[in-house]
Amino acid sequence: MIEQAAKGDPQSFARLYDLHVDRVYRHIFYRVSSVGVAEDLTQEVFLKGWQAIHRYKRTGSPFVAWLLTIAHNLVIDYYRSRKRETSLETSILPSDSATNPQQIAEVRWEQHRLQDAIRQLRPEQQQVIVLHFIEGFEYSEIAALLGKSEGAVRVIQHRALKELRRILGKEIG
Amino acid sequence: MATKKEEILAQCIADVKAGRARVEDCLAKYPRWRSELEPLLKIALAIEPPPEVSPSPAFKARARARLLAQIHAQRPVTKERWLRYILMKDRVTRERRFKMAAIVIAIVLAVASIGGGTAYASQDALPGDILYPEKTFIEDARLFFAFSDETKAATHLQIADTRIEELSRLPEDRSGFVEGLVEEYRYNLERGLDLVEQQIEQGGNASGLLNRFQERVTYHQGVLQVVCNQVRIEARHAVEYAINVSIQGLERANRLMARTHLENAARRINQVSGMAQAGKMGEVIELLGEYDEDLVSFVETASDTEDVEALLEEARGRLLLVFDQVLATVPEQAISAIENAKLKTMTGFDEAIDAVGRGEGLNDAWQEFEFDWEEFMPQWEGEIEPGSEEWWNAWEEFKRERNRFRFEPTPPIP
Repeated sequence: MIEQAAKGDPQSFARLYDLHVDRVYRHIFYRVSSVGVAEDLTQEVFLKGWQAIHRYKRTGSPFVAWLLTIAHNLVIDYYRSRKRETSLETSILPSDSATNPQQIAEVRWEQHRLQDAIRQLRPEQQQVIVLHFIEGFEYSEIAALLGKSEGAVRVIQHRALKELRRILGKEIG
Repeated sequence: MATKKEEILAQCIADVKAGRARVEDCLAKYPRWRSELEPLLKIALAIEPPPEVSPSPAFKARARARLLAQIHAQRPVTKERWLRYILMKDRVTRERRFKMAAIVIAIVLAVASIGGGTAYASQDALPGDILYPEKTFIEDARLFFAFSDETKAATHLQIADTRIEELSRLPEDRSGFVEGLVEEYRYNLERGLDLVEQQIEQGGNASGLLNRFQERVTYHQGVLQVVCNQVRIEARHAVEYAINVSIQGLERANRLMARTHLENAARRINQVSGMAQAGKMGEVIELLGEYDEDLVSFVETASDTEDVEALLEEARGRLLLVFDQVLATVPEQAISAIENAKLKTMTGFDEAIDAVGRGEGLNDAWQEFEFDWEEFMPQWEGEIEPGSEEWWNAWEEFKRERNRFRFEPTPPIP
């Protein structure tokens, strides 16, 4: 399907869109917390993906990871081009384990703090944290995607977690 | 190159997440790194994937249709690569990001390269035609150059009109395009109404534009009903969805129109206040008459919506507030007239809300309160001597009216 799309077959690319749109949207939404912006950027990811698909090479990371790299760059551009908007009302819902209103509020608040802290990381650190913890990619996949060694990815992860600890202060830990 | 602590951290995270170890097991296994590992592990394990946040099906369908439209709209590679880029760019992005100069140049070049005649010919193009991308490009340009919200909203409505017209002309063998057309119709209708709403919220008068939306969307419903009976079975669902979209659009336009009438009524009361302070009682009477017309228009429009009861409650609260503000500022001689208006309004709304609750016709309930404003005004015009027999007769009549309205008036001191 990817090969067909790379040869210019729109229907194949449309099927790739069907397969990955939810994940791309979720990835962007996690980082911008705004439905409108997430929708705009998701559309842009696929358009850019179509324009650049001939440059996609199998590198050991899944195709969706390549799309998420485009998404990552667009999110960075987005934050560079405008002040960060933090629309929290629609962002992260409580996890299933929270059962009463107080628990739900606490989980929601903690996730908001974390989400906000992740947004303050350097772009590369953000990418590693989001790809590993949110998207569930293996270190090998992230390494292939970023063109780095697995060891380098673990170093970035370690630094990112230390930075998160610094941002979050003493409240966690 | 990762050092040992980075590898240990990664290993611990993997083990705990996979359920192969607990945090305590890891810390016990690497006591030397315990103080550094513990807080980092806690943070790492606190990062959870968000629950299933999914884009709406409507967005997915719309974005898919646009993506395909953009792909089909691509031109062969030319030396004007930047122009091709503009032609390919997504509509939303272009609206948001493109610099004016780039667009101006692009349009000039595009028109110059394809020729005005081609642009004109493209107006009849249907999805699947070679000139169709040209047509949508021109629409995009019109949207971009619509600088005011009002013009933008009107342009979105025109594009929605065009999509309906295309649906009605689409040959049977192109039914694969129905879904995309419907999605474009929905997007433009909703976006147009968003802009109208924005305009109203900013205090603008959008009644002319809303009238057009009401008229056009009613027409769309008729066309879509016909299309629904003609399209292939596999496209029927999409057309039914479009009918639903137009019903919702009309409902929203009616709600917005009701709000516009309500704001007009509120504005009129404020004007009454100004005239009363200036001692222009004739104008006060006239304005109250216009206010009554605003209210009738509001009730008529509100009764066409599903939210009629909520709208009536909202209007009652809004006008009560305006009346109280006005009554605090107007001169003594105007108080009685404005109190009458307030009384009539509140009682009218009470009755109307009751009527809706009973499932009765709203307009009938409202018309019961048709009221001649001039009836209780002659004392201000100097036509009746305060305290005279005629004056007291008028007062008694006024009291009877007020009793109808369930309020006990305060007796006047002649």
